[in-house]
Amino acid sequence: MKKFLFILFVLLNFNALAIPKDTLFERTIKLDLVPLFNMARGLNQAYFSFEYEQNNQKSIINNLRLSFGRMEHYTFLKYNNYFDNQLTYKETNLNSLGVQLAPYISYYPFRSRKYLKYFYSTATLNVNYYSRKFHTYDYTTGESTTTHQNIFQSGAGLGLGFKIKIYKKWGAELSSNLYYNFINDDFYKVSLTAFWHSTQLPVWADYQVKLYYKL
Amino acid sequence: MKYSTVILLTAILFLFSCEKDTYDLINANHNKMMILGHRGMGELYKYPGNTLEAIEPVLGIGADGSEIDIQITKDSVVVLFHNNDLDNRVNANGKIFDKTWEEIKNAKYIGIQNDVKIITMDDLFNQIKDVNIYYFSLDCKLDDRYKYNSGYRKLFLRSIKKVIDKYQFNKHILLEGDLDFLMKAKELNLNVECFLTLEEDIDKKILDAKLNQLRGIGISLSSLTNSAVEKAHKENLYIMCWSPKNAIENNKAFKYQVDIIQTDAPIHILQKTNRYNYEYQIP
Repeated sequence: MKKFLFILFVLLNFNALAIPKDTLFERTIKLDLVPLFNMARGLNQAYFSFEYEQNNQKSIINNLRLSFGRMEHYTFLKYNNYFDNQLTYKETNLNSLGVQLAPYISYYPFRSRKYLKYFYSTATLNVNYYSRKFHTYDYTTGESTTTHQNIFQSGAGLGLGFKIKIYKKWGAELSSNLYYNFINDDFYKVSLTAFWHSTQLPVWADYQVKLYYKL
Repeated sequence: MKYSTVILLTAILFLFSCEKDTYDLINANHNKMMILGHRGMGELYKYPGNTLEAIEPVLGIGADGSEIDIQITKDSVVVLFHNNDLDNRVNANGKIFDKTWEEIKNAKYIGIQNDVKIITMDDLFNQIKDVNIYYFSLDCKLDDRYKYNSGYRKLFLRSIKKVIDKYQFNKHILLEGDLDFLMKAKELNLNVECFLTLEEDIDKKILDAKLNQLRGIGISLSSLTNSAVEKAHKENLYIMCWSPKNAIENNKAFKYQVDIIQTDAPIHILQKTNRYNYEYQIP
């Protein structure tokens, strides 16, 4: 825990480089559009993801991403006795609510370049909590069981992003991060909102397509 | 403002383009489809088919079982292997029927993944947890030189019987073959589910399957027709179809209302039918 708090402290206070002169706003809120896509994926996710960006006129910009909502919702059917007169099956329904918190800092390394100035790099933490509820019904025996599971999962990572202004106070941003899980768990090695994860290491990646608005 | 409107509309269009499609099944198999992986996780999986590394994951993600290709060695051991020759596939040469198990048991597949060995059917059943809840369809790769030899065919079937009798789940074994092969299996009391393979002369073979009380027919997706499915289902015969390679071909098999599918894209069809086990992590 001490290690975790130390990394959090370092990431949020590493503001020591030169002040940028650019189009960045002092305070920005962002809406991630990726959850719209994830609603149609197998896990039937329905969550929202917002970000707040605070630019204190320093090179390192502080950000906080908050995601919350339904992280999993699916049915798993398992049939038995296909060649018997009576087909039997077991049905498992899983519903999982979750909150994800990702404090990160962003840094624009090419402030004076014409096009490269829109690119930035990030260093981020990812702290996730999931509350999972399994309901299983066995159609052979008529037995029904409900179990709960609380999962804490976290990681730290690096990423890249690209930010443009669209119109007055509006803009768009694209970013992607690669994380490493420093608290290993049998199943939850990776975040549920990952779009890719390694099968060998507790490493995963996510991406965001964001609309931002200057406050 | 118009730019942000365009972005929002694009996002909404993208969302609806991803909407899941569903079909209702009406077939001879309780209106359900038995889903089998083709040689395990399918042709595109990182591990070679017919190996423990390819078969275990497909069972883990929720499939009902797997199709496997089998051959016998000179000493009648049933091994999982597809090609006619060992050459170029594993670090050994020749035909499996010319070798003893001792001679090929250390043969490893040539490929990116190291240490993937040929396995026997006995090893497979022994190493899979709760094996008797799964279904295995046996595609018997008879040696070209003896494939019409009655003695060889009986030897092949006796070798299979020896293994499946050990595990006592005969009704979970689906045997594919021509009529002669399947009738020999019945004579030897294999007591498995028999599927007559056919690519041509479909009407006659459906009749053969019916007359000989087989469970159904096995046919490739490319040879399948609506009329063949209708005729088979009318005779209460199951249709086992191989091997859709992707989501589009899976959907095609779905539309044909097949009873059993051997697919190279098991993840798609399991997710589509609410049968994908998200709790399992594919290695």
